[in-house]
Amino acid sequence: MTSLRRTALLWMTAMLSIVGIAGAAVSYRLASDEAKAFLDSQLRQIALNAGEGVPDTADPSIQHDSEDDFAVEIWNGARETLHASPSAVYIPRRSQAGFADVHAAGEDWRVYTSIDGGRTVQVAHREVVRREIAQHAAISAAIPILVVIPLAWLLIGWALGRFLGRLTIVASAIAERSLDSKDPIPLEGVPKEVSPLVVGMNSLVERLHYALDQQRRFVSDAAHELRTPLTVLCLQIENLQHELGQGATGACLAELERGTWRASALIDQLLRMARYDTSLEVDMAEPVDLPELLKSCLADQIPIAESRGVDLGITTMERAYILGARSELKNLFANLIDNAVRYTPSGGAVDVSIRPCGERAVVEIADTGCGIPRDLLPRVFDRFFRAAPPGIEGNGLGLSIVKAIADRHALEVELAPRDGGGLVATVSGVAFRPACGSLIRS
Amino acid sequence: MRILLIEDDPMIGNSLAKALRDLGMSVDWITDGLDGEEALAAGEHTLVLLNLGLPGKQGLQLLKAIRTAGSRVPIIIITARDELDGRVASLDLGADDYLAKPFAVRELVARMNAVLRRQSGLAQSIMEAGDMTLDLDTHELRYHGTQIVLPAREFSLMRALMERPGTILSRAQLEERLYGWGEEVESNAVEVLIHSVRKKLDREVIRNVRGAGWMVVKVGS
Repeated sequence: MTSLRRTALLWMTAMLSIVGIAGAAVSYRLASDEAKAFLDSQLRQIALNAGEGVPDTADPSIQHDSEDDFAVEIWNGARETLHASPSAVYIPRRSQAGFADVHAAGEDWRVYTSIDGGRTVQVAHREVVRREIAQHAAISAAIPILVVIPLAWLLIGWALGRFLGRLTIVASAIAERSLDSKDPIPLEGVPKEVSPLVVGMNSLVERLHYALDQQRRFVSDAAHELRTPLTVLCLQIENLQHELGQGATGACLAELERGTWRASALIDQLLRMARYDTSLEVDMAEPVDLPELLKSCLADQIPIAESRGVDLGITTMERAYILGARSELKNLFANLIDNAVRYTPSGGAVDVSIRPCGERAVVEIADTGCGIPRDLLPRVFDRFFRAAPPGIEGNGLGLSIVKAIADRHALEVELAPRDGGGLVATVSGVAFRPACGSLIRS
Repeated sequence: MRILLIEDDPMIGNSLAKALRDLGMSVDWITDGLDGEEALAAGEHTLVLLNLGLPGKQGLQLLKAIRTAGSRVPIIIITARDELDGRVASLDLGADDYLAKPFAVRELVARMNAVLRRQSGLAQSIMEAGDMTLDLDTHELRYHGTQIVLPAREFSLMRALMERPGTILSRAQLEERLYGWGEEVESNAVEVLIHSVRKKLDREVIRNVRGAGWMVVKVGS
């Protein structure tokens, strides 16, 4: 993914560095040239005003490097030396007036020669010293620019961070939104360039919610419309049973009644499924006491289990809570226990265990039923998929509902063959730890 | 017994009215909310079966109006709407019970009887769970035509279980209900009591839930 901040930062620091370095180079060059011109003009001034010279009477303690000195020589018409400055080394008299670069006494010199009739004045200055002075001047001119470059990097980084920080605020405002929230993302404080993005997102969210609302309403209306004729069927079957519920007709009517209730159960399951699909988040999350919840699921199933001769019970029951919507979680466990009881033959057992496991709470429902072939296990959560033997009633939606509820609660559901035959359904989720004393119930 | 049925769907109204008449009740069937309000105001009925989605005036509005006017007539809501939507609202507004469509006539009749018993004040002295009733004054327990008078401890046990039918009570919870502070409790005292009740009536009256406790069922077989 391209990062605007990184790209902008990279480009701006690179450009600033190039401009800065070029600026520093030009200043260096200019300062150095100016220093040289200044020194040249000094040479000339001295040559034009040179005379006998005077001894140095100033404070001798002043630090003075003789290497820095100018070498001044004066000749008369007969080429006799009239005067030479104390530090002067011998530099041959040049016959041509003006500036020149000369090599003498093992050093490079910058020389100015002035010839006035018979008298010749020649002033020389060590090239090394001149270069040093020019360099100092140039460096002092360039250094401020070079120092400013890294400072500018820091400033740019900070400023970019500040501007882009506003984008981060918008992004986290979007990230923190509840999936079911209908309010638009607020436009205050959003940079002008980014606002079309936010406006677009708002309109998308609005259309999405509209579509979801439509679907929810459709599902609810469909429920009503389907249940009404089913109610009529149920009532009329009962009326018929009342009138001619004997013999073969009675058996037919009982079958008819069973079919009607099955259709009604299927509609309930479908509606549940649709409801979980259209609202993406759990409406109300509360700490759910798992032993209490499982006990109430068991209580509902006990009459059915007893009538089928299945021994339904709890093997381990330790205190554990998870966060979620109680009614949905009850639906989840009720479906799993119902499946276990349904697929366990008479004389078998269904064992429920609840225990904390590290940071998680784990519920296991193990049966001694027919199990599910290993190769079919990955498909059991598919809608209308049935892995059961044909003799057992079911619509193939129970486990899809279990999965849908588990996903909404970030729970893990796993079905696995049980050692010695049967199936183990394991549901696990992050355990909720109630604050001390706040949730203690008997 | 005169029942007021307010139901807009002709097929449901017809078949439900017939079912109730076959059981010997007299049924006045009304299909419109406004007519329903009038009939309710007359106050001639023992019990009202009220559908929520009605033309004229919505069921919930009707319920609110009649309760605000001070009528105490028992009202059972029957609706095809999703159970989550209407249940809490209608019970809050003063409905006595709530039944989702489709339902079996026998369940409706059981609920009607329960509501009427509660209304007549009988409920204070009679508890009900599944096919059992327990008379709190005479300590009589009835089950499938059998009737026995329970000794004190067994009565306390059944009372504890029948107060919350469909709920599993653990041994600790039952002992707490049956025995006072500091009273010596034999380790198998609860089992002995349960065994005794079962022997007098039927194994099925108290269900054992392995590893959890005991319960009585809410809905009869």
